[in-house]
Amino acid sequence: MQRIAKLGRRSVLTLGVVLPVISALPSVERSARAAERVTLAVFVAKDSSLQNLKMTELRRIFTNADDSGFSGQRSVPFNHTARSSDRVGFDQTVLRMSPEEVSRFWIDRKIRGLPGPPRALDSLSQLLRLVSRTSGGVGYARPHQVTNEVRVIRIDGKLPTEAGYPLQFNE
Amino acid sequence: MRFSSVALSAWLLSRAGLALAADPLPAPTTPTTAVEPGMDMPTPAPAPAIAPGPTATTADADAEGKFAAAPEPASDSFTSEESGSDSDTQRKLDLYGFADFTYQRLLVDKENIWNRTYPSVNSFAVGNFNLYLSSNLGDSWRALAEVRFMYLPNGASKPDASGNAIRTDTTVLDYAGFEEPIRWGGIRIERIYIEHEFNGLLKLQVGQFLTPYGIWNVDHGSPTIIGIKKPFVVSNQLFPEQQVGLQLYGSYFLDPLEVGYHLTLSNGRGPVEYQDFDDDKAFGGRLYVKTDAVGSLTVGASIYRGGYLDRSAKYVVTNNGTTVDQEYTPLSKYQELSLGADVKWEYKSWLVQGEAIMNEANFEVRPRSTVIRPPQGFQADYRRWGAYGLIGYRLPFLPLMPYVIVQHAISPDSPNTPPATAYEVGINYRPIAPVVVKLEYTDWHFSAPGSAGFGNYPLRILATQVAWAF
Repeated sequence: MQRIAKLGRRSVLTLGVVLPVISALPSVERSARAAERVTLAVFVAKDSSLQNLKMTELRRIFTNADDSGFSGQRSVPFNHTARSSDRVGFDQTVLRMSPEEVSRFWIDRKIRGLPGPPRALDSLSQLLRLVSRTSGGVGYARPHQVTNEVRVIRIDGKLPTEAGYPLQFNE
Repeated sequence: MRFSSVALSAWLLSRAGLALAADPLPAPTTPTTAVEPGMDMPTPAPAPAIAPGPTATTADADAEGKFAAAPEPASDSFTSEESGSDSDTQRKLDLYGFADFTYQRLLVDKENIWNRTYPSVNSFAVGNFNLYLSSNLGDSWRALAEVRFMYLPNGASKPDASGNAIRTDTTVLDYAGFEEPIRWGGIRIERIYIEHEFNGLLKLQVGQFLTPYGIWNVDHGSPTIIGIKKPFVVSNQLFPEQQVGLQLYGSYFLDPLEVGYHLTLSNGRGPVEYQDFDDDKAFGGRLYVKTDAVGSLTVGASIYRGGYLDRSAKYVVTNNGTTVDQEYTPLSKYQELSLGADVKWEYKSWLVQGEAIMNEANFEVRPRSTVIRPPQGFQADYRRWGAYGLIGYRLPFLPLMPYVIVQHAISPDSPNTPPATAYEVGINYRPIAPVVVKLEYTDWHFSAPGSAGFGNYPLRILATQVAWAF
């Protein structure tokens, strides 16, 4: 039994050494092949006063963080369905999470008793319509899919066509 | 035949529910031709030219094709149907929950007394089966209830005055069958409240809520927490786990900091959840600062202050035999103060979290001290405290997190429990998001024997658990 106790203490020490080494290993994701560059435009209702969002603000909106402050005017995010290519790219670029991490994030949040994820829609036309008619609605799509029902806003001060626009990913 | 009718009805109802949930919006009244992004934006810079897009119909078809081509969500059904935002259009009851199944062995000699005193040794056990009922009621109102289904009180044992451990047996004969013996269990209300959001700074919950302190108590569910067992300083409830009353909370984002608070007013700790015997309301709060500038870092501090009163009652006849009244005798009365500090840092694949908690009680009416071995004195004032630290790392090539936990606890309120330090090492494997498999080894060290002598014996536990959200 003493040996088991020693083994346990040794395991704790070993993990303390091994974990930092493992963390230095290259990530599988980093070895992804170069692929098509996709840009996502973020849009709001036409009558919205919102002109620009920082990436940090966009991240908070799509993780349902409530930044409405005194005004109580909350942004209402609308998402694409899980595992659609744009959703995966958006989550990786904005939330910095893989699909599994996103699932974990929302499950954990709901078990904590917090509200769940944004509503996910499997139809782009419905997404555009909902954003256009919802006060504070925020959505995203590829620029050529955006209609005049809604208005594209800047992210970190840039429009989708400008150099350095941050909401881009490799498909 | 009857079964098939019920099944058919259930299927039809479920289809109707789906149809309601997917209720399409009316078609837009304005023509929806594609535009260049930024066209309507009143910005000083001219909108950049983007290649003209397709018409809305084409865009939709394009998108529908893309959506249709997306693979089926493997594990997101738990999360993807939620309508947390547009509460006005989706007032539905959301049912979900979690459960866990645990097996633990003690790695100690057969003569070790822990074999006979540690709960659920060498046994398979379903520990938690918690069901959540959540609903967005609309107009910034939200309701949440969580109940835990238990085998308890069956099997729970309690020592009597002569030292016998009396086990509760809930066996009854089932009248619905051939009076075969069955055992009934219990339901525990974990929390139930209604919440109204005035704005981001002011949200009010009324009902029963989890005390907003630290990390572990709020993480709460076995799929969410990293280890198998709560750290002793959490399970020993230096803060009450739940409270019945009011909770105000809110937060404000000052990029890159989020500052948040919780304020509670409740019946406080007591023998009955729905009665405050001494009308001495407890208050508490938590203040935290969070930033995503360096990973996700949260630092918080919590406080709780309240009174406790337990009493016995008997009916007495007063006013010359004309009135029946109740006479109370206090059994235990104290004022308590709890303080806590916590930190949680998630950086890339690393998780570091820790809590330090203190609780002190000053008695006005001292109960008999709960010791197993005589002599039995009166409960002294006490200050108990403890802390734990956890470091974990989620591997890049597997959804697996090895972790280590070190914890220390001093509990002078319970003379049977010696000061203790534990070293834990484990793995938390999450093959899919809703399922967690854990394996944990814990080595407890005691720095004193304690009044019952438990501290003279080593305690080593190997435990494994499967926890799942549904």
